[in-house]
Amino acid sequence: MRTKKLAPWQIMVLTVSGILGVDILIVQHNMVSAAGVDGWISLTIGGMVIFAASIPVIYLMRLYPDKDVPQITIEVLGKWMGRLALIPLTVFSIVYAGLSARIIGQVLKMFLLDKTPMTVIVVSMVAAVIYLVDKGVYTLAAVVDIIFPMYMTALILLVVFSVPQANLANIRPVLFRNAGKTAGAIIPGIYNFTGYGTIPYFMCHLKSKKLAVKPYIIGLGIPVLLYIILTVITTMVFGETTLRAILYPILNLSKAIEFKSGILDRLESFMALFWIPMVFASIVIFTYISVRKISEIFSIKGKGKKYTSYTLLFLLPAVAMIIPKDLNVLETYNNLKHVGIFYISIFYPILALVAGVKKRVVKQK
Amino acid sequence: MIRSTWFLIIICLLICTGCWDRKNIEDRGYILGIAIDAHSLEKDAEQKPPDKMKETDFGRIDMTTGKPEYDMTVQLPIVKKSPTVSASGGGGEGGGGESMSWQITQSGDSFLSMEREMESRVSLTLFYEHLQAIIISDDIARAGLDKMIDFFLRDREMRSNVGLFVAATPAKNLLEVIPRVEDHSATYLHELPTNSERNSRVVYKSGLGETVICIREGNDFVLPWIEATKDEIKMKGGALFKKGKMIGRADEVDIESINLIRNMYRGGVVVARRPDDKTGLIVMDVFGAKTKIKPIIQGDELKVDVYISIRGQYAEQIGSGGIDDLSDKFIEQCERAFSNEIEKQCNRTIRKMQKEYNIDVFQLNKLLRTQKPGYWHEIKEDWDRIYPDVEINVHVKSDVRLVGNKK
Repeated sequence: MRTKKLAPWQIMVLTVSGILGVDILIVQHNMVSAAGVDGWISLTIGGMVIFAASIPVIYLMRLYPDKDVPQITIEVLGKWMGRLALIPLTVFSIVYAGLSARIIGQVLKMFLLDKTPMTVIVVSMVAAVIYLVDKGVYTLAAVVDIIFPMYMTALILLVVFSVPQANLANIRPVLFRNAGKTAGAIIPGIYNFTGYGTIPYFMCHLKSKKLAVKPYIIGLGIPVLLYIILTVITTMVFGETTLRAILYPILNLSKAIEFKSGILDRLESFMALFWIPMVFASIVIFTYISVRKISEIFSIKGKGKKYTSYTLLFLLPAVAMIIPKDLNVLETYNNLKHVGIFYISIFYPILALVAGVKKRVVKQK
Repeated sequence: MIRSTWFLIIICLLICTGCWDRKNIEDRGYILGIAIDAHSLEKDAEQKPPDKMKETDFGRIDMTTGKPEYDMTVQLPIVKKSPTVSASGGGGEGGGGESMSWQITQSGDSFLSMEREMESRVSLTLFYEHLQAIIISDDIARAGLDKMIDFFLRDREMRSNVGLFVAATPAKNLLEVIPRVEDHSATYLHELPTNSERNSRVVYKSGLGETVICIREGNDFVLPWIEATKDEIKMKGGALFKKGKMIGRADEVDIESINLIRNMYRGGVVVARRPDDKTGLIVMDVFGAKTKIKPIIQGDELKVDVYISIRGQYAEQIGSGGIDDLSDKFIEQCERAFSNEIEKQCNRTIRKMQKEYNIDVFQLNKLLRTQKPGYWHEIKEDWDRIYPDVEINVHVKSDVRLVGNKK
């Protein structure tokens, strides 16, 4: 009989999928708007910071290998403080998943399904997400496994096919009278990796007793590298001014590629098959961690967890549809990540610190 | 039970999602080409009786926001006349000098309103994803592309590799051409620049995407200028754009020089006088060229060195009685002759662009911005004043690698 546990490489896949998501469609625009042609440098430094930020996360997972974040938080901070600390994280992950569904809905409406009402797009996506979350971690990870090679192949193909259009001059001069802006954009650079904190929710489901630190680190490295490459290539193809003007550079990039002959006429229709599941995987992960937190906050056990997922079936579309204007959605999403990453970046170190002190006190006793 | 309910809900939602956007392929009107002219369809004072009405009478629009500024003509293929449909017995009588497309002209002040107005005359839903070419009349180009191009960037069906062309007014005449080989003038036009690998006298990169990048970054650029007979279109040099507005024209030799200097030369022919007999000619079939531009700042003076290296085949000689005398020394003399010819040609174009038009079509500004950013930062406001007097030196190195089928 197959054990319904996760393999170490699934940790890598879940880390990559947790970090990627709608951000991959907008990161290039955001970074170039913040730091001009040097946006990729801010992103690189932001990526490095994320590796440093993962240290307390790894420490916590080592201390509590069979517990996930909500369980660790309640264990370390106590019943009431722990639950209180989990509330902002829960709100963040619910709003993040809801707004991701809305942004993917907007993109789908703009590029594929112009007549389909937004509500239908969002509700259908959320229904599929909840169905998957309801099936549990193993099924969720298995589906993400299937999606992962598909979207990675699509992204690599996109980069390869874009190279002939790239112009090195568009990314020069490097850091010319722009060091201040580049430094200022490091924090927005970090926002794009908000998903780094999702892995402690899955590590406790690992098949082996040994912590999968290496897959986690590789999982962090892949999105960092992908974001940098995509930001460099889109800047080289479109140039700074155009990149500031277009909202979804990756989709424009795939539209700009045309095959003169062959069975594949246009790349964007092929790409659509892959970026939709990619965003879907990210929403699934954030919805799962929301369910976990709600369950722990309210001590919901057994069948009750099922009903928690069903509640999100209504809550996520409500969050997604609450903002009427598309542009405001993107703005709110970016602001949310601002607040979210701030909270996460102090939450994990404090939790690790308190857990470490507690452990030492227990040892001394 | 719960599982099957979930399954049903998901299937229904997925199916319903697709239904809204279902569009039969035969209901789409695939726009292949667009021509944009300044408004000329004047509205008659009197209403004509139906038997006196012409197609152009439908093109006028009742405005609520002022006067119409543009006449937009779109080319729609008449599918029933397509050879494929004819062959499969679906009717059709195309060919034999008969147009296989329908050109519809509509006037208006915004492109979306013109498109929607056209849909009151066409039984199909207009669709831009297969758009091949946009032809802009010179009067619209002179008024400025930045003024009218927004629709073509914002619309989700538009693609950045749609070809942009400029023609004498009325541009819609270009769409009326009935090509001898292709089915539609727009597809014919779209395919023309592909010969830039063999003919360097055509503008190579002239897509909507590249043009918009130039406009946004404030770079000067060139778009292909086209002229037509009733069944033929020719790319005849280029239209020069400064700050998004057309300011003049470049001939085909200028285009060749511009392609060479901007490192966009993909292949072509160089003709020079025979070194041993000035009445004869030698011809080089160029199959590759590489250009490097080096800006040099000496004090306050800017000097630009352009290094062009071309390689190709000794392809033809005219005169001197067809003597087979291709010694190494003769080939060296020929290489020098080719180099001199190209230098002369480039210098002529540089003078014309600097002195006559003051247009930085070689995009030296971009070069300075990326290679000498400090210097560029100081002079960028004065670039228009500095550019005409910049010393540009062209150095050409020709390399004859093949001699063809005979010595």
